[in-house]
Amino acid sequence: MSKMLLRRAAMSIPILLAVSVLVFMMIHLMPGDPARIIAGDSATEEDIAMVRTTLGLDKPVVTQYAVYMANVFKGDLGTSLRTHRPVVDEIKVRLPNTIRLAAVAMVLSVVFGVAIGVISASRPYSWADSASMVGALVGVSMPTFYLGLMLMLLFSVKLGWVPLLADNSLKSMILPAVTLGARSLALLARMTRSSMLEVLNQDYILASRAQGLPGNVILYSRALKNSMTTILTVAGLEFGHLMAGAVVTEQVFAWPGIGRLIVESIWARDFPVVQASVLIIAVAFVLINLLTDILYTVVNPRVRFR
Amino acid sequence: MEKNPAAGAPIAVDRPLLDIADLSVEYRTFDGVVSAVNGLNLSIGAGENLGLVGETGAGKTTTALTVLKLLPPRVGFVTGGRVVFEGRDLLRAPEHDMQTVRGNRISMIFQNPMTSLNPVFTVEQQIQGVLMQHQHLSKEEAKERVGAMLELVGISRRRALEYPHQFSGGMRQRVSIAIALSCNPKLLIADEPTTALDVTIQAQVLKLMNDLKSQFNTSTIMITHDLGIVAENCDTVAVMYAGTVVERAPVKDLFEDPRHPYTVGLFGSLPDPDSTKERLDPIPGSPPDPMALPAGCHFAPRCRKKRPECDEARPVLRQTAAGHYVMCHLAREDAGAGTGTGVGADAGVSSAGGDAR
Ligand SMILES: Nc1ncnc2c1ncn2[C@@H]1O[C@H](COP(=O)(O)OP(=O)(O)O)[C@@H](O)[C@H]1O
Ligand code: SF4
Ligand SMILES: [Mg+2]
Repeated sequence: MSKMLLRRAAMSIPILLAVSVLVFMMIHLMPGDPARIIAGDSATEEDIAMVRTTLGLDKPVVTQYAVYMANVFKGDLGTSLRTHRPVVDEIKVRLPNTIRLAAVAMVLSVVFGVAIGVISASRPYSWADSASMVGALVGVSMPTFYLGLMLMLLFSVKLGWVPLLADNSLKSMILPAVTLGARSLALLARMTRSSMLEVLNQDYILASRAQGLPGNVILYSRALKNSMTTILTVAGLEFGHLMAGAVVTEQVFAWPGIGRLIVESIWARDFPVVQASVLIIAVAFVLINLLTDILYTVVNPRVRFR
Repeated sequence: MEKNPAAGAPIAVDRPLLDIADLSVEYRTFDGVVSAVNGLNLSIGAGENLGLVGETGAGKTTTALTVLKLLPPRVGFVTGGRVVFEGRDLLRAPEHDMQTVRGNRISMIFQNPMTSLNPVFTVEQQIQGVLMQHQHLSKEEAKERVGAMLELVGISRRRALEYPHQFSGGMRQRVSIAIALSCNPKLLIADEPTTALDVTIQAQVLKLMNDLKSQFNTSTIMITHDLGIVAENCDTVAVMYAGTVVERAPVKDLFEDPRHPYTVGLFGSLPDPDSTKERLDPIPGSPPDPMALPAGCHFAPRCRKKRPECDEARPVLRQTAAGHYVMCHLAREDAGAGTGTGVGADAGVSSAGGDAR
């Protein structure tokens, strides 16, 4: 069991390396002279030269990468061109906000998504099932920014139930979390339903009915545990997507997270901050997937003993 | 065929444990209505071991599922009849009462041990689940009972915490037997319990079932398409064809004196162990389409003894000798005794005799 997990963890290392190369290369993939772009339109030649030396852009690419990675491992993600503070400090302020938002969105979407999926599967083609699945289809296809604006218009502007802008209260978190989690909730509801329908058709479910087990025990214990592998896969992938989705949601709700930091930094051409933020999101994505694999072995004994 | 020691044992006909009368079941599918069970009569006494034989599609599994009221929802429908168990009609019992019958008074073992155990629960959790559902036991008592049940079916109690995929097919079927017998049911329905197993394992599992059902004094319905299994494990046998019982008799009587042309044909198509040459003489044709059953006798299109009236009227199940029932227009003439009204099983069918379905 632990051997399998070690192998799985080892597999993340090349993925992380590839991610770091890609993130590092971003600056060189931009058309034109990176130093000139970063320095901005109104920059003088001296400014550009200064940017070039501060960022080490005059050295060979391989050397630049080696230096960058060495610094990353020392916990040094560079210095912000905008605030002249260490990037790590900028991120330290913003990252917890994003994690909090993503976690609340995730809990909302898992709890409601799975519940809706199970209830739909237990009464297929009923009124409740059809309504949920139409809702889920809308949820999957609705663009995040549009949903965010609509929710804001209704609940903040028209009804005044929740504050318009983030003020760190739990109440101000509801709309951003719903907006961010809507897609995952809808997707989880659909995947849970289809997985449960398949499980409920299995012989062992008929056998447990023949044993006299009550309907809710069969549904929420005997059947749901079999669907857990599917649910976890989707939830794990979606949690990764939530980090990326945060960029849009945080922008709509002016939520001071890492997604907003990326957008602000892009406008300010604060390249070290963009680079570091993207790297952090990518690492989080890989780690969440690793965590998902570990959880698999908890719910699925066939994986555990292989 | 080996002789069955239990054959000829008295059969309780007065007040059977389970009495199925005039049962009809259909599946309503997109393609049409499948008449899976058509006016079936069958009863089983306390302690009786009944073999239910018939080809694939004869309606054996459907009959078993109907007894437990586990037909697939929105597809399977009972269109008539009664299933009286311990004096009350299960077809009219509410779902909540059925939950106290299933796994407790009536248990079922399914055909495929590879798919009938839940893959993500340990063997202990699965046996314990039934025990805790039906009996007032503490967790410790239940765990102890799980260990005892496992040993009873020949599995070490140390394996209680293992998952189904860690057991072989034969071992899994033993686990299913442990689950089925854990609440000491009055009736055990085993739906082709050994069909999916190797021949050697088959014999072991059947022996285990035989030992346990006498120990637990459980009546059994052994569903099979193997007459050899019936000969060795059952007291009585009912032969099913196109959703109905066409002949029912003590095992010895049926093997020595089959009366229904279909049963006669079944024996004709068996290889004869006493003769040197293979005596394979299968019944010509195939069973009728359950979506378009013949108007008269369902066996008529394949019957060698068919008469003109066979296409008009469906025969009823009648007693032709003590404990021997046959559903054939000829049975009356062949019979030495009891050509009048049959006992028990005959009762409700007579009115249906005149017109088809
Ligand atoms: N879920 C179902 N939907 C439609 N038809 C079914 C279903 N289950 C069984 N049948 C049909 O009902 C008839 C009896 O099937 P079954 O009871 O499984 O027979 P047996 O167990 O004797 O092989 C067959 O014609 C079969 O195709
Ligand atoms: S009733 Fe007629 S057709 Fe049917 S089995 Fe008897 S003889 Fe054959
Ligand atoms: Mg069957």
